[in-house]
Amino acid sequence: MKISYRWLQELILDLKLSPAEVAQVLTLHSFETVVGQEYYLDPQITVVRVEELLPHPNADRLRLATVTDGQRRIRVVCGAINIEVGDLVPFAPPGSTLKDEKGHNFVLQEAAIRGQHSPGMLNSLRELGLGTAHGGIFILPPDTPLGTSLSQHIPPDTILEADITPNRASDSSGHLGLARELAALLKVVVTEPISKTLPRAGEAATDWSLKIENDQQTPRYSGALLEHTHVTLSPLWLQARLLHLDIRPINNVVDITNYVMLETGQPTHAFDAATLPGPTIGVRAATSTEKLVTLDGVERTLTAANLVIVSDNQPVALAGIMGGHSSEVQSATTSLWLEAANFSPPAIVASAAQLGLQTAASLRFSKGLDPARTRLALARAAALLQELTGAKLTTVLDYYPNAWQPPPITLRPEQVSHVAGWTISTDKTHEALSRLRCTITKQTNQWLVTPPADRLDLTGEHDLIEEAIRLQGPDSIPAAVLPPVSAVALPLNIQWREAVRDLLVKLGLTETYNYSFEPAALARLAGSADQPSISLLNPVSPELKNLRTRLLPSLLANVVKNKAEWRRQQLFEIGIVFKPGTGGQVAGIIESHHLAVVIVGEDNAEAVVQGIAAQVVAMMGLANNTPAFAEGFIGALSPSIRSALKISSPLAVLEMNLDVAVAAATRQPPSLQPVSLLPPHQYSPISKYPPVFRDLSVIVAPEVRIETVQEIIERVGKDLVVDVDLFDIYDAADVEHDPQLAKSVAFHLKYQSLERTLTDDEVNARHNEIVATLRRELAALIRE
Amino acid sequence: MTALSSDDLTKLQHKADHSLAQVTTSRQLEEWRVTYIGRKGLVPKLLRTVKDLPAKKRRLLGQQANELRSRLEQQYQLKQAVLRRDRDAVPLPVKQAVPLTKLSGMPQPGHLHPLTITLRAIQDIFASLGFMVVEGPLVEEPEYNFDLLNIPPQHPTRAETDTFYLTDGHILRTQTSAMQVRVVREQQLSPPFRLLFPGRVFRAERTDATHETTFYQFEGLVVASAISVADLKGTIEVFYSRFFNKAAQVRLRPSYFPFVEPGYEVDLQCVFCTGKGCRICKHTGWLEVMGAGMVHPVVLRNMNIDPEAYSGFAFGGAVDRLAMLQHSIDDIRLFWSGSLDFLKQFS
Repeated sequence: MKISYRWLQELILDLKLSPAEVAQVLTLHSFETVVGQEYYLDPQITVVRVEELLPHPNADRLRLATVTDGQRRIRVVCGAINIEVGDLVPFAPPGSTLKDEKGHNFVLQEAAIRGQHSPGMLNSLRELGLGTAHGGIFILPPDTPLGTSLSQHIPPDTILEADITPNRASDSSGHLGLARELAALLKVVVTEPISKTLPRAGEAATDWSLKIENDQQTPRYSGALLEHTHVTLSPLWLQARLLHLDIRPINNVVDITNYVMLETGQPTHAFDAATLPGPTIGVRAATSTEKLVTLDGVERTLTAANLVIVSDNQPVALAGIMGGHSSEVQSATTSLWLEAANFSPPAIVASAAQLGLQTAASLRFSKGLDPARTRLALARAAALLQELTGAKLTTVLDYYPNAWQPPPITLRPEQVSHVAGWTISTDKTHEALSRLRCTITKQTNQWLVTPPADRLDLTGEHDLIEEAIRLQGPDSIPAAVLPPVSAVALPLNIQWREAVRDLLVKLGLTETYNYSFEPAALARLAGSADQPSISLLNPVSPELKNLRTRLLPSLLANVVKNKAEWRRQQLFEIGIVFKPGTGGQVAGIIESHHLAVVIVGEDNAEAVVQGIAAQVVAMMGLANNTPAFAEGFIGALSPSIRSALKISSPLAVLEMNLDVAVAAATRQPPSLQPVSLLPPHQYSPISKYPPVFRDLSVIVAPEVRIETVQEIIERVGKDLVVDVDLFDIYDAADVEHDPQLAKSVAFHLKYQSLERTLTDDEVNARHNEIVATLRRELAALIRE
Repeated sequence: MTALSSDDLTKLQHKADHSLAQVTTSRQLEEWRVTYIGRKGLVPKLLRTVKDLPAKKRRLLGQQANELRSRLEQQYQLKQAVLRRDRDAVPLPVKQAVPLTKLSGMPQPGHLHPLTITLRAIQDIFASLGFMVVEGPLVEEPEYNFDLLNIPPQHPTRAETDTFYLTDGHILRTQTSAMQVRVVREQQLSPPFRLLFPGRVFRAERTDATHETTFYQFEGLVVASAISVADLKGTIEVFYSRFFNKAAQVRLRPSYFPFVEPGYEVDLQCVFCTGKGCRICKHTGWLEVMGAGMVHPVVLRNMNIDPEAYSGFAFGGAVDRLAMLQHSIDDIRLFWSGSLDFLKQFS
């Protein structure tokens, strides 16, 4: 929620903190709050009156406006069509700071527009930094003093943005509530706005009446009739307040209802009473044959899920969400039906969801407001309407069949220290709860605490304990350490999965993680789509509607993704697959851990996966025909699938059920690699530019280590070589048992730049440099 | 004609996906090709309208439309292959017994996924602090994920815009907190106990650099007599100190989670600038790293534990977030990209 710092200053006269300090105090004690936009008008911008409007001699869409500040007349070029002679408008002389379309400051220069000199300009709201509206010049109320600086009427403000947690929406969705919260934290007082109390409901003779269908959905409905309203522009202070909080001023009546919501948190709505079908105002569920055009001009088809305000049983507004178009307050409106009602959260949540329409009002009702405040908001709105529009209050009606009082809560004050793990004296707790407007009755050993009506979230002892800790600042609680106990071993299945991961990485495979959603096209291709599967009601896309029954299709998707840049891929994944069936932890669904491996780009891919499987089997002590393979497969991928994936080299796969393997294991898992304490690798961003590949075959003396060769390649390759893939070793000394024989190694080098597409010349030059260095430093032979 | 929008592209994609799913013969497939990606098909037609858009939209929509075209072409080829496979009846990957042949081995070690590396560190640290690590189902009953955690029926997180629902009424768990009541009930645990629940969770939301439909969480639950907020703070500090291998300082800020009270947001003093303010902590000096709080009495009762006799704390953080901090990864979607350019950077 957006909070005006200036408004808080008006409500807390002792507010000595800066906006940033207020944000910090609220963040540490209440909810996360940051400093948002700052509003500041250049004081050079002046109130002027339009004296004369002439066509621009060289442009149809421009006019020459002569304006006066009461002292001198100035002629400027103006493109807006909404001004008339006599209007009061803002004028920025050259040298003033205004906002451009991106919200950046710019300093206005004297200019000639289509041959006409223009010393300054008339301003739209956007140019003043007061919103995005750029449709025309900001027309000021007629009583604005001519020649004064606009910043006198629209003073600077800083907006705070608070992320109010849902439990605090009831008391903190208006400036008054926020001021009370802040005052409790700062131990200062709030200057509450005073409005005349309303006459008792139904006291005056009236033919208006209320007919509320359901007291669960509408616990309270307060309404008032006001006559002799004069609808016009709001005074600038009121417009400024709305503009700073991102609400567009409409007219004084609508602006007052918005202002009262921003102040009290209670939404209110004004109807043009003369346009209502009749004097019986009701609230009921809509029927599926009804339609309503709302204030935004959209015709809404209603259902029984929508709660509507009716007049003589005809829908005139969406209760708690938006008013109706037919009863909108307009400049000719003179009589108003003013509504401040309380609707239950489920009723508004359902109605807003059905319509797909959320408004400032519906968000507040959805989280819950207390019914006590409808009448306070009605009184406040009526007072402002009388003061600012000349309206006369004639009738007040109030439906409130079950007057609600917050029930008292029993608190054992010493519990506060127990929960905090830190001593908070009962005196401090008493003070904290009092500052939060609770009434406290001390009894032997316990207190009876009655929270204020707007704190709907305070319902039990633990809520009060939280409040007492909150006001001390939870950050001040010192850390304690749990009593030491002996370490617990990880469950066997986790140990085995980690051991398998370590084994596969040692064998040169790279681990991948994929979504639990099965890629439909690949699943169909790989035949897993024939398996019975479990579907999502609201998938990300129709292609991903099933939960995966096998890992293979996702791994094939990885292979396809990488194939352009990686000729050789050795991937594995350990993940959960889903099958319908009984015996799982959740009824009807069996989840199992699978292991899948894909090898592509090796001539002997099939032998490699067979070998990998053999290593897993050996490590776990499984039988060769272990049932872990029963739901999987080992071997070469069918050529037709391969050709569909456009992969020419052999591709072999392995998939097995690891849970079954763990259950059948006859060995203990090897101990894991200890967690590395080295600083973690820092990720380098992936280039958008295409890579270039070069192979490098090197013959070196038997005693030269492969790492040394690789280090030289990486050192010389530095910024251009992004990957060095060792793909072949022939250690003749080892194989032929002759220590004199040389060692042959082959690398696949990937050249790529983060900044540009590499040219062949560039790559060749660097490659030759690597070759030269290997020759020089290692006396290596390079096979061309 | 109204201006082209991303929504139109999404709708067209859904329509194409849907009708492709109905295709069972080569002839139908050819009709599908002509309708969508043929020279006069819907997608090329749409691509031709892109040039009339304002420059700002043109770039984005042009790119999206091109992606749509290549995706549909790829799907077309796959479907073609599927139809051919069905016709040829080529057997699927061979099933056979494992011959224990000697593996020559790849010459270089491969790479663990960064989330594995981070998860391992988290599990190791908590196991050493006496936490029992327990895993649980990804498909969950709404009861454990919401109701038993004191989350009211109309709570917004239950909406289809946040939670994946299965056709049978189950959900994909949105939080490892679902494990709290499940494990204590299933294993009939009585205090004192210390539990850690690591694992995959799901959110039905749009993805961007910091949001994913799928990520990993780790959740701690400690219940014993006289457990306090001070214990919570101390435990979290010990964890982060070991995880980042330097003295960590945390800050508790009031927040709201229905299953804890008091509830807190846990901020870790930025480990990169020691609180001075840097790019990573957005110059606040603090990193938001987990939610935590004292287990709500209602939740304790749901575990069949007497809240008068015992108290507890719970905390939950995202593994992905820690991995991103550790490795300076700037986009959460990279974990799920399957891209070797990314995966080969870690070990």
